[in-house]
Amino acid sequence: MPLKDSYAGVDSAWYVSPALMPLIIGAAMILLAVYIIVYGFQHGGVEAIKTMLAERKGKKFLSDANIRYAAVLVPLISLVYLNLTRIDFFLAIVLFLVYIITVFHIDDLRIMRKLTFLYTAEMMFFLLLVISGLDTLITKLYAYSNDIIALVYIATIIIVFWRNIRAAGNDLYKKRFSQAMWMTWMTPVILVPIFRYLLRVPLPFEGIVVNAMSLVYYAIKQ
Amino acid sequence: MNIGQQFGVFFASLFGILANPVQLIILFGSVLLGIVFGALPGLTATLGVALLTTLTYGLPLQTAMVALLGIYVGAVYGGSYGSIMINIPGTAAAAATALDGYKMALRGEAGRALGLTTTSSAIGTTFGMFFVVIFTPLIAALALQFTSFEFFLLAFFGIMISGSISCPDTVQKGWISGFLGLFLAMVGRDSLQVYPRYTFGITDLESGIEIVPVLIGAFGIPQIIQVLKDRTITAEPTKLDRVLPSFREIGRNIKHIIRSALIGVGIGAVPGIGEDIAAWVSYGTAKKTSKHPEKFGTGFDEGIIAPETANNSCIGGAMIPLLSMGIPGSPPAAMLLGAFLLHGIAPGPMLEVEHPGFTLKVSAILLLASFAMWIIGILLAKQVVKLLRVPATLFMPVVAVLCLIGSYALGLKVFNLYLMIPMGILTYYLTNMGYPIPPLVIGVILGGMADANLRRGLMVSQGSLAPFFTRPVALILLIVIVLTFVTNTSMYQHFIVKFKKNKGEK
Repeated sequence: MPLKDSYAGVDSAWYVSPALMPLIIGAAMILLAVYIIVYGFQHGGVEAIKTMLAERKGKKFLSDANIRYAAVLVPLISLVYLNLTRIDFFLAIVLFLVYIITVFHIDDLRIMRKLTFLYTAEMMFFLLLVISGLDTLITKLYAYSNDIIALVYIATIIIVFWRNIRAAGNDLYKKRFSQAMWMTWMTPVILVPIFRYLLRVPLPFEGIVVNAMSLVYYAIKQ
Repeated sequence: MNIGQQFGVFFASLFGILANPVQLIILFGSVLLGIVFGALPGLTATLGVALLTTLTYGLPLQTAMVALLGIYVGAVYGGSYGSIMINIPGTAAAAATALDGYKMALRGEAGRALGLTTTSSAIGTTFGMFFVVIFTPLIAALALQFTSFEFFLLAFFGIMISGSISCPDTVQKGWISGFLGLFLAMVGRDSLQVYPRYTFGITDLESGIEIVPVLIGAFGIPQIIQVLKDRTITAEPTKLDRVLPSFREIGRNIKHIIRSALIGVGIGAVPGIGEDIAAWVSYGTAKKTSKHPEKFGTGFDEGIIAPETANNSCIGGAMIPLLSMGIPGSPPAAMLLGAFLLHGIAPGPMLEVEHPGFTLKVSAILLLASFAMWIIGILLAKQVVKLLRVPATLFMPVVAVLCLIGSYALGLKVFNLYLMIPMGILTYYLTNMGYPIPPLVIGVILGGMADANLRRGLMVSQGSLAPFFTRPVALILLIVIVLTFVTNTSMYQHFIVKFKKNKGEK
């Protein structure tokens, strides 16, 4: 709606328009942005851009820093946009934590690189299932199909981690791996009952594990 | 309410909590949780309040308030543990404490250092509480005289001042951040004509962007990305025998404590300025006014007392604009505002009319939280210090899960999560580029108020801008905004440099 128009049968003056505030904000932001650009150019901005581009030239796309960044973002984004509404909440959390805690707690770039590729591949495969609509088809055949896929993913990640840790032959890694596993499984074991049964929050997707938990909970309650 | 009734409400709240074992347990538990949150590098007071907001959503209002204020007070104090024991500040507010605290710990005086921080933090919180009691009703009474024009300018003033002070780089970045927040607040149907703005046909956006998920995204996600992405080293804490209350030293430093508490309250009362700035300003002032400035940075008592008193008294300061005008004084206070709104409390000039005695209840909780903090600080410090050995890589992913489930649980909307992640990534990049986040948050919170009041005011004045100049408070606010803007332009700064140079030549 422009500044002066009618909406829902009511004629509006410029000062009542819903566009007034966005226009003020937009104008202020443009002016400030121009100021910052000018300020940047006056205070070595061009040189900084040149240095940044020169630094980027030698860098690989899959550099260690980028892999570390991807190792945080890939599981976070896939959990929210892909898994949370399709996979059992308990398993979705385990799938997220089993990768992210272990990979950063062990903090070996070689292992991180391998596991990040594996995790991304797993998520890409699941994304393909979702895009093609196959995930709904297989859940019609068996309600917990997506949860089974998640379980396979979790098992694969644990096995690949364990094989890599054994190959590294580092006792500290073994210790950290067991700490990570402990944290991975204990978190949903504590959080799911708190939110589901204490705070009575219906979880985004309740599948194989949460339904089993509910069966046990209501059986005990009765 | 007359003064006698006010005393009655205050003490009734105080003894009501003390007589209620559940609330007492929640008070001590949340303060302890806050200390743990503050002590662990990577976790902040804001994040603590954010996560507890979701857990206390279903609780009665007073119990939820006890928990939220408890964790706030505990977390601001808890930051000193990391500063003193491992030289890594648990929170930004405790960064100044590390300068002298760690040096003391290296001398084998960690217990004494923690004793000083515990007692001065407790005094600081109590001091801030008194200011809440005194100033909140006064400012609220003044704000009752405000019309739409003043409220619009107040929102702008909040963004300008918060952008000017909290920006590490050029102030314009702080203002852009604030305007970005204002823009985010424009999403959804506007409150006067119910016209959809920037909704792109997405029905979930019609009710606007929910504040709490945005706050969790803005403060939680960048922290998680940063801590995990950067390699964090878990340091071994220095030896700690016993935490001593150090009353004698506190008595000797009472002058510094009062000054630091005043600084903390003053800075806390400015919209969007947090405990970290209060601590640094207080440290700087203490050093400037000290008889022994050369001793600062060598493990000097004053160097610990000044920032720790200020950052805790800042809590009370931040509550004053929050309760009286609905403008949060610090990022954790912004989170508290979200929690208040979830419980059906709308802070502002009408707060005491709609919920008589609410400010006094908050003050009573603050007082009890400072006592709880002192007791826990003296008795359980050794156990809390052990937690500093837990690496961030183990608990940060769990915090991520808590952020997600917390955002979802508030409105049972997965869409909140869809917003939270881009918000977190946006704030991560903004932070890396030197754009401060508090003005953005203030913008999101005050955007609706600014928009509705500007248009409502103009409707009353039939489009005339004259009330901006004819109403005294509006004029004062306008002058302050213009001065803030002008004094931060390079033209003005060049002029001042030139003026000083000319004056020097003469």
